Amino acid sequence: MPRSRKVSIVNGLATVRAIRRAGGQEESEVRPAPAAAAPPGGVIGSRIGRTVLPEQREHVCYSCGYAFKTAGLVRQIVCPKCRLALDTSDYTLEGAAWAEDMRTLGTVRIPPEATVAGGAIVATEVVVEGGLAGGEVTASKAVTVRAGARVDFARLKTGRLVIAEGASFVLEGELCFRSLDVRGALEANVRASERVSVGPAGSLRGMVRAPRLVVEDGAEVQAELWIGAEPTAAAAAPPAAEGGQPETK
Amino acid sequence: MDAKDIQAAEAKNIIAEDTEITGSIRCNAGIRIEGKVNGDLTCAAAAFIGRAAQVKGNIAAGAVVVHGQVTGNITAKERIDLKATARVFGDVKTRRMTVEDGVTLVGKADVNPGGARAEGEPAPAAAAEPAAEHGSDDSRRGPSFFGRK
Repeated sequence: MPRSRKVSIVNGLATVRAIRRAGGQEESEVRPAPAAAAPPGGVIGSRIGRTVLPEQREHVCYSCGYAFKTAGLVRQIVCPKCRLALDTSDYTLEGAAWAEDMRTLGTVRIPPEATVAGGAIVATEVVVEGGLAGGEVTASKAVTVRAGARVDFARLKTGRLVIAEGASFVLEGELCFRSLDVRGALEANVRASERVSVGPAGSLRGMVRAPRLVVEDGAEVQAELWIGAEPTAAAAAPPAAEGGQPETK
Repeated sequence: MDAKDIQAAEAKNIIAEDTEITGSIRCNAGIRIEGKVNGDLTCAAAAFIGRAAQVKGNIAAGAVVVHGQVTGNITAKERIDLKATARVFGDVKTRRMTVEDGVTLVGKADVNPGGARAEGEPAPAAAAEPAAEHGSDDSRRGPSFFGRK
């Protein structure tokens, strides 16, 4: 009677060792090196030194407004909610009077020689170096206004407004944004729902109402501040005379 | 005077946390306040207002670092540093100022690091733009609404 053959369990490491032994390598060469110290960025005992994760980006669909994330370099993005194929390219507007609609998840730049006279521009970031006299500009992330821009701030819809270094604006009325980053010069009444920050080369004048304020060393601030507290009705009431009354000392 | 010098230097005058002083304080050397002061503080050097400190009065010093609460005007010859736990209700006037995230600050600020622009000097040249989405009649400049002098 033939003897029953016992099925042996296949051991991968043992198989590799056997193959290497057959190839003439010493046993010591086959054994894995002891994990004496953790490799940089890795776990002790792990052969993997460091895991590189792709960069994650946040997007807001310009059609349905759904916010989602993507990882890595993606050429075409489809909104998970409305299934619309979204444009991710960056654009620089050309022409003296731009009046067309544009929607992209990238960055739109308005160069100094261009002026937006109409249309709706929807992008993640918008950089304004030229004119914005008509239409509407919507940025899901931020609008940066650089020196030399001619901007009607009422036509900007964004959560974060950045006044770039070198830019200087004097406005009548009130600017309302979620956050304001002043790196240049701004003279206006400002209301932010999140934060106002003034950079080292920044200058801010006017009235500022925000829950948080950050002023860096070297900034110039000459303003009435309501930071972290809501203004009372009496203190917030404007003076009766136009142009305000001279400060008495 | 650098901010680091203000914090690192040992203040010669210290008001402990369980101390309450009613009246004006005037000193030449640095002062560290951890308690309560009801009155004006005048210091030629640096004034350090601790986290538990409460000052009700005006502060005039070479440099001021605030971690606690100040109800009154702060005037510093060199700089004012408002740390994250600072609560200031009053006007601040100095050459340089830093404000950390989380500060409560209600009052008028006059921070002019260059010192070149005096009051009344015209603002930097820029095109005047029409009002933004919420037109407001608020004046940009006016008397201090706290009226403290």
